Amino acid sequence: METVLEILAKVKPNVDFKNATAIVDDGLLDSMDIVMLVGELNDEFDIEIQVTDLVPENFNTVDAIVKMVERLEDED
Amino acid sequence: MKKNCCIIIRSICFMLIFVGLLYYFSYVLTVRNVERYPVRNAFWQTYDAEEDNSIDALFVGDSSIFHSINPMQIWRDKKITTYNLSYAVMKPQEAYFDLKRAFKTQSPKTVFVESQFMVETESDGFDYFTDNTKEIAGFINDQIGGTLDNLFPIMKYKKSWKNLTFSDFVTNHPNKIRSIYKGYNLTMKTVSYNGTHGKKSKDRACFADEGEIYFKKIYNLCKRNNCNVVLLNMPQGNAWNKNMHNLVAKLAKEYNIKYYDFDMNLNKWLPNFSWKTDTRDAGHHLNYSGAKKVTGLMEKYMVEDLGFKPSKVSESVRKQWNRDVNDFYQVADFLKAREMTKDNPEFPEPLKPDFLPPKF
Amino acid sequence: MEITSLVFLAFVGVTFIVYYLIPKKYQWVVLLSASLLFFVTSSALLTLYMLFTTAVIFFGAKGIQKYKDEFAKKKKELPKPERKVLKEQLKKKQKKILILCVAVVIAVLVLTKYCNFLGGIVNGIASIFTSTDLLPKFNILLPLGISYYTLMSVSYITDVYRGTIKAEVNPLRVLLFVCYFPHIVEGPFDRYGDLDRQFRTPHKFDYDKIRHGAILVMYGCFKKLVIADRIGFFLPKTFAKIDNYSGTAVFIGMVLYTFQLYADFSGCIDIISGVSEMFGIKVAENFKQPFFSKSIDEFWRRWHISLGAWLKEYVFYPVSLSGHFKKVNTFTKKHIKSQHIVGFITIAYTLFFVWFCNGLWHGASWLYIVYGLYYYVLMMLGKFTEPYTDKLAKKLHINKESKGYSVFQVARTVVIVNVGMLLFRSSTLVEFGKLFGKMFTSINFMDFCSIIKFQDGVVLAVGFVVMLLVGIIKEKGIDIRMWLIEHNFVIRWLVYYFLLFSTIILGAYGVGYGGAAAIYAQF
Repeated sequence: METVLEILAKVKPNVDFKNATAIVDDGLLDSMDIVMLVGELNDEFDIEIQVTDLVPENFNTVDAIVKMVERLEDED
Repeated sequence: MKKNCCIIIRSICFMLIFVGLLYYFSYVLTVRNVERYPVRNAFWQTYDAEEDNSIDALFVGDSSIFHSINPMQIWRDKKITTYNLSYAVMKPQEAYFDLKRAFKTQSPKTVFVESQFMVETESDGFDYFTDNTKEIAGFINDQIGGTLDNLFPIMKYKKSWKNLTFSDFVTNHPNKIRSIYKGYNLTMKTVSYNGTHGKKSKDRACFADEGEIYFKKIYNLCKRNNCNVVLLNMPQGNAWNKNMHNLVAKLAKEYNIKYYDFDMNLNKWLPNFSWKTDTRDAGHHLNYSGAKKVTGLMEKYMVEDLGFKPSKVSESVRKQWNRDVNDFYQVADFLKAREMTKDNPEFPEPLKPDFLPPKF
Repeated sequence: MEITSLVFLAFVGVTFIVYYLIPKKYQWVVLLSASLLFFVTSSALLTLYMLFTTAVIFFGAKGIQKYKDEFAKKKKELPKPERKVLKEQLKKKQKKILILCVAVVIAVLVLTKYCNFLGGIVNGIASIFTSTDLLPKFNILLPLGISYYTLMSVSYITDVYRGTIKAEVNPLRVLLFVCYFPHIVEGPFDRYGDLDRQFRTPHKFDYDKIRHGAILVMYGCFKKLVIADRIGFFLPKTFAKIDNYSGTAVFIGMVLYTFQLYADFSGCIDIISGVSEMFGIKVAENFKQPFFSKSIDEFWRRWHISLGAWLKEYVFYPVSLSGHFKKVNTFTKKHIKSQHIVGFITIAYTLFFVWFCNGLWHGASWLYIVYGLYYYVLMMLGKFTEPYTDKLAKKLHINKESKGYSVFQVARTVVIVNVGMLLFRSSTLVEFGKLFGKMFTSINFMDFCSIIKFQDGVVLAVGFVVMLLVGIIKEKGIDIRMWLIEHNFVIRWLVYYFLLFSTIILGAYGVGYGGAAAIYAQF
């Protein structure tokens, strides 16, 4: 959780992601930011996020991102 | 159930009001004053202003003929009453229905039918691979459009919205407006045509827009009204060729009627005709100078070949036509003196005599 | 047939009646028959191209699904390591099918649409060695909507590969998706899953829903016939003789052309969305008041939305997540310390492909590619300078959140888009350069009167105000059509009569107007 928040701060500083409930839907992250975030997440957790994972539901809250990361870690 | 009834009743009311408004706007837009806006089939008011049974010959066709035949010249020179019953992009079907209505108030001895709008060449562009089904859709579209056009004049006159005034919406419109042009479009504009004369195409000629079918109907209609039919063709820059001429000549032979093709062998018909000075738009239509020559030729053949005699009309009609001729030539001379050449936006054409300066 | 023609109206009317009379489970068959009829009357024998593409993706998807099903069956019996091996194996096979099918389908598009463009390149290279053209210019006719249905086909088979949807077993349903007549002419780009779900839902005759769609159709016709076609009638004459006019004329022409393009494209999209809605099928949204955008980025998320979405989903994401791109990313991270620049380079790299494709999709010419890259360069400039402009704004005490700044942003976007449209309209870069330069050098306000006649100007002004008002209301999130339906019928009828009669009387169609075919249908 903490790592994810750190990465989010790196990709887009000065934004409060912790309490956000609709990160993608409200436009806090656009598709370019998502791609950067995905790159960092892939590196950090040694996972492979697929295009099919790039849906708003997986990125709208920090919890959702964490859940997705954990799921992908398990799959391997 | 009640809700459905309500919906159906409301829908019917909506449709009724819609149709009512459609007719109202058709009425408003139907051209009142031909001289103010030269528009398609805007001539019934002026045609109806002619006294019943005073016209001896009608000219029917599309824009090439209303730029070429000047009834006022024919009256001035030969004292024969004629009327130019044509408008832009006229189709054979429209010509038939318009003639039908024309016969209601006049009984001309001859109807001159221009042949260009009935004939076309099979274009190079038609590709069986891609166009055969497009033709079907296009055909259906034309049929629906044609029917709507006839039911709701609004479709024909809608372009005159630009010239509407407040009075058009509320006053009663006169059904008859006297015109000094009798369907002829007076224009002094000159845009030379520098290309070669005649259409360069080896394609087969064929009838366009059911031209053959409607010509038969027109012929029969005229016969029923004791009227002769004569086929004509006006000089064109590069829209006519031998194939098209032959097709129409065959038609003329079939109906045993006369055919004057002024475009074929133009130099023989009109040796002093010049594409530099006699066309208003680079060969598509003639201007006043060209119309003078063509009308001069036409009236000569009317008298010498077709046996036309000066019209037997009442004294009041004769006086009226003389006045019209007077006014017409005043306008014509006025325009000519100012040397109207290409694209002069000051003078919309044609002009009404009122627009002339008081003493000219 | 054109979508603003009477025969199309009759066609929709007949289809509509049959659609609601027939048993609901065959409604999709009615749509398929109507779509095929529509396609054939536009393209005759060229329909074979479309059928070929459909066959390729249908069988390709079936093949991919077969391997997916095979894995699903076998994975329960296998232990974990072997499961992974099988997964990799089958994934490889699926990928091969996907790549082959996509390549074939895109090849058809490239050969028909870009043949002469490519030929030109080859000849250009060859001209270094020889003076004769290696490849002749072909006169290839395109089937209806090939740029649209090809990309939608790619989306179908890719979605099957990704597991987002299952391959369809009925080829006719796939055919319906590909040639569905509302979206075949000018888009929007739909996803198979969205449409298929709606095709399978039974649609009752819902009076409100139908009216909702019908109002949109009327509004679309108004935009297309009264505004777009009106400009399309007199503007080309001005551009043809632009040398006789001043730079002000170029400016006016540019603005009018942008207005025309927007009214035309959004009007046509409204017509087909409305028609589709009348059948109970909602197609993807394509416009969201694009001229209220504060940045070009946002503009392309509000203009031709479905194209942007397609490019994001099938070009941007796959490229960004590809192995090759990962290598580029790692390389830049190693050698460049600044996070901002690393981020910038990674984005710039992928977006180049996206914008190149965007430009190229619009037409087979270098100018269209330049058009795409024009926006790319401006966006990258914006992104690169973002931290610096933020600092500058702070220093100058400019509040980037203020209303005044928003107005500036919107105005800036409008200017950039207008210039982009001038580029889009030009036939060569040199012509664009000349025209662009002219705008600043020769000024003559009188040209305004010589380009537009007074009455046309009034009509366009009224049309502009109407579109602006509708845009503002929609921007606030209000569904105007629903509002009209729920409120007093007098207001509703006034709106209906206004739209109908202004279209009938003021519409730039028929004799004296020479038909102006939909601009975006040439793609």
